[in-house]
Amino acid sequence: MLKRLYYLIAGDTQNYGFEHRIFNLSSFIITVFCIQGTLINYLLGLHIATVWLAIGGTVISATLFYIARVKAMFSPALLIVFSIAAIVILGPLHFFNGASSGPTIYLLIMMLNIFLLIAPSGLQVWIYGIFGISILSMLVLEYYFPGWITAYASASQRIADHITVMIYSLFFTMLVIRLFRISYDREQQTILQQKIELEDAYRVTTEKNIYIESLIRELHHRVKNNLQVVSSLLSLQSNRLEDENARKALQDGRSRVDAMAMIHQRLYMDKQLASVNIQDYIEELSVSIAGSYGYSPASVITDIVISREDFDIDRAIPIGLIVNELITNAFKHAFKGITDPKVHINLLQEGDMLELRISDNGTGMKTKDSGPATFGIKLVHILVDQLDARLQVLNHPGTEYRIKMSA
Amino acid sequence: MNKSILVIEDELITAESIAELLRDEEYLVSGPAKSADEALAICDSLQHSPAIALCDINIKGKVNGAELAKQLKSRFGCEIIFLTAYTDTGSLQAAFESEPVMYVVKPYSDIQLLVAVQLAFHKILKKENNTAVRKLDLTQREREIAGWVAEGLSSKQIAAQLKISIETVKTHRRRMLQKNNISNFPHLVYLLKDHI
Repeated sequence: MLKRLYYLIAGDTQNYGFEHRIFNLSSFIITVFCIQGTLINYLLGLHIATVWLAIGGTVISATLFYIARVKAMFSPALLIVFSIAAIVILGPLHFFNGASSGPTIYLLIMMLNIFLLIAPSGLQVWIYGIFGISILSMLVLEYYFPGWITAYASASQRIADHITVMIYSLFFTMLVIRLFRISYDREQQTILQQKIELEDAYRVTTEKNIYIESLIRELHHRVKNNLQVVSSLLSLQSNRLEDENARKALQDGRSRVDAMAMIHQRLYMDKQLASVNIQDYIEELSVSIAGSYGYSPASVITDIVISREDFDIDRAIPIGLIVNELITNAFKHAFKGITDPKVHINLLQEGDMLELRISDNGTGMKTKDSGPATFGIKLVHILVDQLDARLQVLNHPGTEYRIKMSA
Repeated sequence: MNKSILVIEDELITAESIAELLRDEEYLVSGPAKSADEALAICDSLQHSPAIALCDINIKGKVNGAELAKQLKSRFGCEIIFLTAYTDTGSLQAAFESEPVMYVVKPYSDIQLLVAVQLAFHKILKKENNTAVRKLDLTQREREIAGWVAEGLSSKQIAAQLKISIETVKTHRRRMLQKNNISNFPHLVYLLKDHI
């Protein structure tokens, strides 16, 4: 019931902000107070000017209530107008109601407090200034012009006035503070609720991330295992072949699959889930290939000088396959009769260009485009295209491949 | 006039294997293109725009395969075959806007791919109204080989099936076209089906 009355006077929460509602309520209650004041002043037979001032107060606060509640307008200017009007009405009334022996200053302080509560922070100093200076001026004027004061007819009249205003201003101050407190508590509650929800959401997201990460690792693991199985199948099958060429072809296929499996192994073992450290990968790959052709790890020299060693999988796989083809080629064909065989793998960065150089100190390419080597070289060309790179082949007398791509 | 098949696929090893399969079947292949930009550049540079685009959906660059296919269809009149690993509704819906002849899901078999290409050529023949019923001059053996081709078998597979050499199969196929004055094999298969 009270709540409905409050919403009826102050306005609903959807269309009116909290401060706006308090302003509506204040202007309404002050209007009622002014009407009451008009009647009482008149009936008590107080000075006729007090009746007119009360009527003025009624008109001003009713107008403000109309603008704020009905027209739904609320602005700092409205607050300033209300403050000044309060002083214009209550200032003279102060002198008619026994000056400082009367209760007018209570009313001013009550209004000051309410306006301070609902004013935007920039405006608070101004409101404080207006009321402070006015009240001080009233006291100073009272001191210098005692003749302006209309004293109460009797002590009982004075006490009656005090009691009325006191009850009224205490009640209204309490009401507004109470409304503020409720609103504040509600907001705190909402914030607390939101904080709990956010923490929950954060926890769920973190758990989900960890879960997704483990799934990705699992996926890479399975891909690697499947590639491993393919590699083993090729190996088993090649062991059962009579034809030497067919065996070699299967072995070549197997080493390509192995080169890819090695990347997926790194993807689930390293911290990064979508990139591999290219230096570690190339070293592992080249040493493993050297071993499979019976060369020592020392026969491969890798030198990698780049700003970012983490390579995206889309780039690491073609690079891995190129390295695989070219150094396999070298170990297969280049080192007949060479006493100290060496393969150099360099990956260098120059500005925004990346250059992969693979060179050997072998016998060089005597028979260009001959037989089984051609598929490997064709593959290298395809992979170079895949990387949007350019290939240059040098003979001096070992073979050097230079592959340039943007970093 | 033998129009080409444009291969759009950003995994170039896969692209090469598709191209090799099609070339082995005596199709003219252009590309491969890794991105929409490359594909459109190839189409612009060719004297006859490709008859068929074999298109992956997830390709390099900003424009995806489904979007590219729409452009290839409207600008160059290509028939579209999608070749992709995606089977989700979103991808399918986007892809079907270009009214593809076929949506082949990876991993594909050679037969699926060759049948799709044949169907695409049949659609083109129908569109060109090149469907006059003709009597085909074919021997029993040739008819048998043509039947296998219609099933989507490659020359290599037919050779294994009939226990003859792949070159013999290819010679048979070439002679069938020459004799009947037909430019490509899908046309012959089309006419053959009409007869049956």
